[in-house]
Parts: sequence; C-alpha cells; structure tokens
Amino acid sequence: MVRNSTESLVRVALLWVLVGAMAAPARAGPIPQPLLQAVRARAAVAYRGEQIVVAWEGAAKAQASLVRIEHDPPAWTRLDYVPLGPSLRWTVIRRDTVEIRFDPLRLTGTTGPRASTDEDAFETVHLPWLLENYRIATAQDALLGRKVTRVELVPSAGDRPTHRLTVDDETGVVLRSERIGPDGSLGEVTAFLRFEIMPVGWRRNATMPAGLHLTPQARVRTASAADIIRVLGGPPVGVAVPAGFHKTGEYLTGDGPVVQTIYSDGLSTLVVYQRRGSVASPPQGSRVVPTPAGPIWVQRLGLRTLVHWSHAGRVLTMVGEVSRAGLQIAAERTGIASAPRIWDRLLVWLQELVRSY
Amino acid sequence: MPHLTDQLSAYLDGTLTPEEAAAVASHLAECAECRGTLDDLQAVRNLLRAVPDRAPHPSLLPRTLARVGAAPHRKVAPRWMIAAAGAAVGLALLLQVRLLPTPHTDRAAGIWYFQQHAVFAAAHPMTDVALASYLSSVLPYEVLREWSATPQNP
Amino acid sequence: MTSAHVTLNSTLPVDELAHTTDVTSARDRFAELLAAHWDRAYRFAYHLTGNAADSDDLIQQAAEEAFRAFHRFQPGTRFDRWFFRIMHNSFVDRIRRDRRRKIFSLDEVTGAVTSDAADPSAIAEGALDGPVLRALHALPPDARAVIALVDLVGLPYDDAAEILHCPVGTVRSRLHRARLALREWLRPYVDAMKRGDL
Repeated sequence: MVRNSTESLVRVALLWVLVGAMAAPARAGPIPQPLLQAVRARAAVAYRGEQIVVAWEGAAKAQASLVRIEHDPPAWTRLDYVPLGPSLRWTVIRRDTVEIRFDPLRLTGTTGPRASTDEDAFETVHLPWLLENYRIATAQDALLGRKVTRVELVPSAGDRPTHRLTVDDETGVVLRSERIGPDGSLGEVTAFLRFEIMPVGWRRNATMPAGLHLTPQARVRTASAADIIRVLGGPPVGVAVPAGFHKTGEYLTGDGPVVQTIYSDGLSTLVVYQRRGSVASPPQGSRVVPTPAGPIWVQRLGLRTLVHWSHAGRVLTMVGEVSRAGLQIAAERTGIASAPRIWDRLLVWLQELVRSY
Repeated sequence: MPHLTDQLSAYLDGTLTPEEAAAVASHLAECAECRGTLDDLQAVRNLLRAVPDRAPHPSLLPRTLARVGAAPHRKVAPRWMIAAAGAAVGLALLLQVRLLPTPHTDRAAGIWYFQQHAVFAAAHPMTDVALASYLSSVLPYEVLREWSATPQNP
Repeated sequence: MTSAHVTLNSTLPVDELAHTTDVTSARDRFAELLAAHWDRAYRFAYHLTGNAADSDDLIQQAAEEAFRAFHRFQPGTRFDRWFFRIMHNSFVDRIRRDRRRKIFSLDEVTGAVTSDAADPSAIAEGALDGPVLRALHALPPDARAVIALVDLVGLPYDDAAEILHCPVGTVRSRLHRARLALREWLRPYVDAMKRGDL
C-alpha cells in the first residue's frame, strides 16, 4: 500500500513538473549579449560621426546619402543629410517628442510626431518574439579600430529580410548594418565612416535653428475601441498576417477615416490600414494583380511591399518588409472581395464627374 | 430696457467698446432671461470649440502645390458632354471596358503608406537612427525638389 | 509596446514670409504663404463643405485661382484674409451651380438634424462632433461660413467681415442668429454643457 501511494505521489509530482515545463513561455534560447546591448544603446549612448546610407529601390535604382550625426539621448538627435546625386540636402532634428525635417537652405519643412519605444516593454515582449522568429549567429571582428561582434539574424519564415549587424562590443552601438531581401539581394546598407563616443549631455545646449517655417504633420494618436468603431462604422474586420507577427498597437492619423494597426515579429514591422468602403481605390503607383478570389493592387519600394484590396465592406492596405507572395497569402487568407460590379464603379465615376461640373 | 440681441454675442466675443460693455453688464445684472441667453451662447461656443481639428491628408499640400501653375486644370464639361458620356457608359456596360481611371481626388499615393510604415518601423530600438529617418523622409523632399526645379515665373 | 507621441503645434510667422528677397520666385513665395496658412484654410474649407472630398476640391481649386491672381496680392498684407476670401467666393459659386442639379453628396456627416434626446453615450465619450457638425451643416451657407470663421477657425470679427465682404455689424448679427439656431438644434447638449456634464 505504502509503495503504491509513493508511486502515485511520484507520478503526480512528475506530472506537475511536466505541466510546469509546458506552461513556461517557450524560449528559443538565451538572448545573446550583443543583441541586448544593441537594443539598449540607442537610448543610452551619446556619439557623433558620419555615416553612409544606401537604399535600393529596385534592382537597378539606389538612393544614397552621407549623413552627419549628433546623438545625445534622450533629448537630442541631429542628422544632416547630404545626398549623393541630384537631391536637395535636408536636416532632421529630434528633440524630446518632436521630429522636425527641413531644407537647411530654405528653412522650410515639416514638424511631426516621433514614434518612440518603451524599452522595458521591448525587452520583455519584442525580444522573445525575435528569438522565436529568427535564428541568430554571432562572430567576432574589428571595425574602425574597435572590437565588434557581427550578428546575423535569419528569419525562419522565408518571406522577410535577413539582418546583419556589426555591434560595437564596448557600447552596443550598431556600426554597420545590412538588410538583405529574401531573394538574396541587398536592400539597405548603413555604415559609419567616422565614429566617436561622446559624454551624455554633450549637446545639452543645442538649439533649433532660427527662422524655420514648418508645416505641422497630422497627429498620430492611439485609437480606442470606440474610435475604431466610429471610424469604420462597425467592428474591424479580422486580418490574417504572415507567421510570427503580433499586434502591438492601433492608431489614427489626424481625424482621418483610416485605422492603422501595427504588428511586429520582434524585428520587422507590418502595418495594416483599414477604412470603410467597398470599392478599393488603389494607391497611386500600384498595379493590379488578379487573383482567383478578386483583384489586389501591389506596389514595391525596396524591401517593402504594399498590398491593397477590399473585403467585407472594408478597404485594406498591408505594408511590410515581406515579399509579395507572403502578403498575397495574407490577403487571400483574410478574404478578397471580388471585383466591384461595373455598376458600382460607374456610379462612383458619375458622382465624381457631376461634382466636378 | 428691452432684451439684448446680438450685443450679447459681441459681449461674449469681447468686441464691444468699454462703454457698450458696461451697458450690457448693467442690463445683465437685472435681467435673468438675458443672463440665461448669454449662458446658452457660451455653451454653444464651447460645443463648437470642442470639435476636434480636422487635419488634411498629408499628401494634399504637395499635390496642391504641384498642380498650381501647371498645365490646364479640369475644364468644366459642357452639358452636351454629359449626354455623350451617358451613351458611352451604356456601351461600356456591354463591352466591360473601363472608361476612365477612377477619378478619386483624394486617393493616397502608395508612397504615403510606405512613409507611414517607416515612421512606425523607426520605433524599433535596433533600427539605425539615420536609416529610419532617411526612409521616412523620402516623400516630402521628392516633391519639394520638383517644385523648386521649375524655372517658370508667372 | 510602441507608443506614438503627440505633435508640437509650432506657431507660424505669418506675413513676415511675404518679405523675402526678389531672387525667390513668385511660386516659391506663394508656396510658403500657402503652407503657413494651410491647416487653418483646410479647417475653413472642411466646415464650409462638410466633408473631406469636397473640401479637398475646394481648397485645391482656390489655390489655383489664388495663384493665378497672385500678382494682385500685396506683399506684407494678410495672405489669410485674401486666400480665405477666394475660398469663400469659390464656395458660393459652387453652391449656385449645385442648386441647378441634384448632387450626390459623399458626406461623412449624414442624417437628419434632430433636437430630441441627446445621445448619452456620445456625451459620455465626449464624441460630440457628430451632432454638432450635423447641426452646423444644417445651417444655411451664410450662417455656416460666419460660424466657421469665428468659432471654428477663431478669427476676429473684422477678419470675417473682410473675408465675407460685408460690414462688421452684419457679421455680428449673422453670428448671433446662427448661434441661436444651433442652440435650438443642440438643446440637450447645451443643457448638458451648462450643467457641467461635458
């Protein structure tokens, strides 16, 4: 009798251990130190330097710029861009919660909100997603006379970019980064040409230039559930997103009729725009792709793809660093409205024509 | 003294001379009905002021500037054109042909969506500071560049 | 979690912009003036027309007309008064044309104005813009214009008089009558506001 109860006790104990193990959040491994450092560096390390930034828009077209950087977190970042090629110079200044961009010769520009992060939430929420969705490899190296760690983040899903970061061992600042598309082509490269650590507070007395004429950009604010229902005229339609993406927020821009939902897979950002409507007015610059269910519109810009379609009385636009195939599958899984009846399109066209009379 | 009329609104908006304002104030001291009306006017004004600001679409200003001074804008279509268009529409129904591209005046440029995406992506702490801003800055400066390159002077 | 921040409302110098060097073209000067007054101009256009599509059209058309007439604009004078007047004239023309035919309105603000019980959830959530904007849109265009300029854009009486091309006394009486009309349509909300419920 005693043996049996001991056995069953042991069995129960083992069962609890098993349950405990299953209930613990699935972690793909410990967070590599260089990654943690890189996450914290932007808000903690002050520096100045010069970078080169290159972004490919398609296979043959690239935009490049030199940029002089002053970074003194949390209150001051100044970026002076000198584009390579026939573009105007421009300057970006981030001070506290505001970001202004202006032409340094004409002193005209815009002022707008600056999206910022809650670092603690990032480490507890986003980093675990990153570990789930990316395989991480590291190697030691040297750059600009400093000891660095090369970190490669390869997505398990085959539809989004691989990131290669060169992280400074001492401070965690990313001295060089490359983002490579799922097809293996280089999408974006940034690299410091000159880099110098500065004491925090070194730009404490920095001021905005005088005489700026700035146009305010539309406010972005968090959308409440009531806002969403009011803007959409009903509850939001469920949207399928590529594997590994989790919702992180919902916003309205200005007082417009579009709800923006943001998703992250820990590293890459996906945005879904939703508005009321049944005839999808396609974005300028997109081209139509017929699918078995109905038409979608597609546009690419470098590593990013935009897919636009209508479904269940809503017009949806999904933008992310995901391949067209990946976003098309998401659209198909969400549901795609068949092509609007010619009657609907004619009615809309007639309304426009009469209004323009 | 008879009840106040539009002097009440002017009083509320502070556009009366000091003498006029004093006269209104002394009437209000003795007239409950006018006081009530003044309270109502103030409430209406507060309701109006509470209406949230309507922000224009971010691409509207660049698009407007691009059109200003450009080649002939939409001409007003004379009446007979509507009738002809009606016939053509009938034909289109039969042939399933698109007559015109959908003329939505406030259709966003695809690049606006990309720019917004870059603004949100910039929040990621591992995003390169300079790259994030670079990607989200492309649109306004493309348009401004076109604008300033034109040699025409009206 | 990411969180977005609220924008800073920078104060824009108004007519200093008109005093630029001769080297900058008229087009550049026009662009700067238009940009400086853009948001308020759009607010006026929106409350005049009642919906985004029509206000976009109105402001674009007014901008084109204004640019064609820009040689008549005196540098150093009030660009906003001048441009708002062009917008208002354009709006009045449109109404005269529209009266001749029935127009499909792509209004976001629809539904009859009613003065029965206020919507309690609207009051609770502070989402008053629906009823208020419906009431505003029910006003005749003259009354709507003066309310838009004085109460929604925040201009003084004399600016409104310039823009609407009428004496200040007319602005005052129109404004008063418009506010009284709104009081009737928005009676339950007015009462709630007076009680301090809003």
